[in-house]
Amino acid sequence: MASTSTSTLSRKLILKSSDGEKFEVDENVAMQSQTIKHMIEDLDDINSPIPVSIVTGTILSKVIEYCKKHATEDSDSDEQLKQWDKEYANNMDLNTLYYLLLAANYMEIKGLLELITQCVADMIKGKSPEEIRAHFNIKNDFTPQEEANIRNENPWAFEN
Amino acid sequence: MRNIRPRIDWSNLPVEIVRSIATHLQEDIDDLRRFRLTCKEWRRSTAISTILPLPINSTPRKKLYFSALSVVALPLRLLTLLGWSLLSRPPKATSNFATLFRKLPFFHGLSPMGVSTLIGFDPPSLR
Repeated sequence: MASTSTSTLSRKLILKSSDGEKFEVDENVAMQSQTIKHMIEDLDDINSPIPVSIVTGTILSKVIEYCKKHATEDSDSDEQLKQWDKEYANNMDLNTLYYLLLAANYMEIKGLLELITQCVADMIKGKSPEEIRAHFNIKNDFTPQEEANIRNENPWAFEN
Repeated sequence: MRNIRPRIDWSNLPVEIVRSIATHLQEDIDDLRRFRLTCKEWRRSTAISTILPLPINSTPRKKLYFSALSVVALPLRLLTLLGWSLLSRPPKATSNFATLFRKLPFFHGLSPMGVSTLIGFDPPSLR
C-alpha cells in the first residue's frame, strides 16, 4: 500500500537481518544508514521488511543501538556522545568489531565506520608487525626471502 | 569474556576498510610502515599506486617501482585542503596539482632514500 500520508510523525521501518531477525525502528534511526536511505527512496511500500542482507541479527542490533544514540537530539553534549562512542566500541570483542566494520561499510554509516576504524587503528599503534599479526590472527604471507629483503633494506621499519 | 567463536583472519578485510584504518595511522609514519608490513593484502590495499595516477608512459619496471612508493608523513592539512584522503579517489590531476605533488615527501618501500618527485620522475636505474 503506497503511503500518501503527509504525517510528520516518525514512521516505523522494519529491518530484516541475514538470519531473518526483524527489528522495528524509527525512520530517522534507520536513515543514519545511507544504504537504507536510498532503499527507502526507491520503495513505495515501507511496510515490508527491508533486507539488510549481509548483517546478522546480533550485529544489526548493535548497529541499531549506535544509530538510535546518534539519531536522537537529546541533551547530550558532544563530549558525552564521544564518551558514549568510546564505551560502545570498547565493549565489543574483536570478532564483533570485524563484523561491525563490514556492516557499517555495507550500510554506509559514516560515523560508525569512523569510530570502529579509529578503535582498530588505536590497537595497531605502537605494535610490531608480529604483534599486529598475533592480535588480528593474520598469517605472515611474506616468503622468508621477501621478509629478509624488507628487513635488510628497511631496518628502521622494525623495532628490535 | 571468553570468546568461543573461531578467530577471524583480519587480512580478509575489504580494501576500503583497510585504507580507512590506515588513514588513522598517518600521523606516525612508523605505525603506517609497520601496518604495511603485516601481510601482503594490507600492503597491497594501501600501496600508493592504488591512490595515485601512474605516469602515462610507464614501463613495467617503472610501474613496479611506483607500486612500492609511499608518502612519508602525509601532510594532513595539505591533503584536507585538496579534499583528498586515502579513502577517496585522487582529484583530477591539474597542473597546479602536479606542482603540489612535487612538494610531497615520497618514499620507496625498498629503499631508505626519499623520492623527491613523483610525476615525471625517472628513477635513474630504471631509465
